[in-house]
Amino acid sequence: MGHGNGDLDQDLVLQVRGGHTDSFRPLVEKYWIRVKGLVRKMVHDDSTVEDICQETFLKAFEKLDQFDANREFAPWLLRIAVNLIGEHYRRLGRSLKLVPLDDAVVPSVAPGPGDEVMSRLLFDQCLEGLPPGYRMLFVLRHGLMLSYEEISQLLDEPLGSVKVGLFRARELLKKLIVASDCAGGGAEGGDV
Amino acid sequence: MKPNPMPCEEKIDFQAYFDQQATLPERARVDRHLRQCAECRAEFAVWRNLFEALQRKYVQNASDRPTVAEITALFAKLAGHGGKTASPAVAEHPLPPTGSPSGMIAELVRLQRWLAAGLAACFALVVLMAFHDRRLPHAPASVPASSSDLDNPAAESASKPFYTWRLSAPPGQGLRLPGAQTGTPALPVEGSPEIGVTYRVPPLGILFVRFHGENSVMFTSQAQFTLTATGAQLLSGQVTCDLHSSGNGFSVVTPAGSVTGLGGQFLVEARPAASRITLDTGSVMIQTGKLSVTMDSPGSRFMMADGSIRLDAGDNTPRPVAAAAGLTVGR
Repeated sequence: MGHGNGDLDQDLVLQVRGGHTDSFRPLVEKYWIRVKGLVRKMVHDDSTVEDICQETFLKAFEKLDQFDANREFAPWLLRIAVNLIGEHYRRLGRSLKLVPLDDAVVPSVAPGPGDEVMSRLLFDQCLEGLPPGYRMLFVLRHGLMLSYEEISQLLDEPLGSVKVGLFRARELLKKLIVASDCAGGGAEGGDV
Repeated sequence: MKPNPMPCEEKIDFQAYFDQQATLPERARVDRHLRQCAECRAEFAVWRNLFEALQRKYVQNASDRPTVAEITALFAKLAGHGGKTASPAVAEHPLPPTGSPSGMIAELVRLQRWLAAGLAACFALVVLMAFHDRRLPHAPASVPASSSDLDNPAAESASKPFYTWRLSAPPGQGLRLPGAQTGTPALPVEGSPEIGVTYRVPPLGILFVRFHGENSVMFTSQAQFTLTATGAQLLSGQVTCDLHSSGNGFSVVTPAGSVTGLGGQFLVEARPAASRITLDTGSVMIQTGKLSVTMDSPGSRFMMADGSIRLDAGDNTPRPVAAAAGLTVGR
């Protein structure tokens, strides 16, 4: 998940623990894009996004002495961000748990073939209509490009639930793609 | 190639195929089957379109990189924490009661520690402020080009250099600006390139550019390029990108179109009539004036000046796309 550079992260963590607060800066600069990319896709209010990003790094700094420096820093940091996003949703009365999916998330009226703008709007609308846990799966898989195993550990969900959750959510969205033929499969539908 | 007359009974795990969970033999088996089965090919196209739509929706982009304002705000809060993680040992030892000689000594020591902590915090603030204008070796990103940028987020995001370079070239060859006259001294072999300035790599030189520590971009073949806040504009020559998560969204813009890395390794060659993309690992999004496609399996493609995208026939010449696994047309 950290894509290498673990030794460098480890050195920086040890330096911060040793009192060199400014060694925390490269960690912030390196991982901010991932944390913000995750938070921004899950939370739409700019000030809340900013708050959660800041809080993630503040908590990381505060709890750095609890971090096992032999492990990768990125998953530990992302776990803090995911927990904070979870808290945000709990305050809204929602949860990041992978609850059963409702087929109604796909609109009954699909755009006609070639209506690309409408297709994209509906696609976005469908994504927004998904329970937050499923959107989190997509952000982690397509945004942060984490493996199933990494997602499973991060969300504290069984590996099977992650696979099935991704599959179920994609199956729902696929209906929309099929109905609208939005990406013009014909252009590439020839010989392989 | 005839369509199957009967419904296909082959069970293909398309999710595993597109999520890179399938093994190489499994992928090869799917590819073979797709060549023969129109029904599965249609299903494959739907899955491919879905993955491309999701990728486009959720890909990390350069605007999520930290701004100076965000870093400054965070470190102001961290200064408020007073380096809480730094010295846990102090809190672990209870102080003796005040009044006794040892207590008074302890009190003095405690006051001294507070004083030292205060001074350290002030020093840290001064150092932090000073380092905003001096590029730390470990902090190449988010440093404003001038102090006025700190007050101007737009200027800050447009001008902040994320990159550091190192040139490997024979003696006498150096990095130059394209218009530089003969005899003009070459630029240093190491440094931070300026955003928006066009550079030219010398004939036998290799220019290594890094950002966020883990991402490596290598310019060769006398590349002429300009670095931007979101990637590089490649006017000629070649660039090889090795991107990790923090480098996702890095775009190489050529006259024929752009290539956006979604993690992995790829090579872009800017040629007069077309630009060539060779994907080694990971995936890239290719965009021309007419098409947007995702390439997620190793191979080469050409972006043509007319906006079309073509396959590499294996002899360095483009031929029309007849559809291939790993290439997804978006629009």
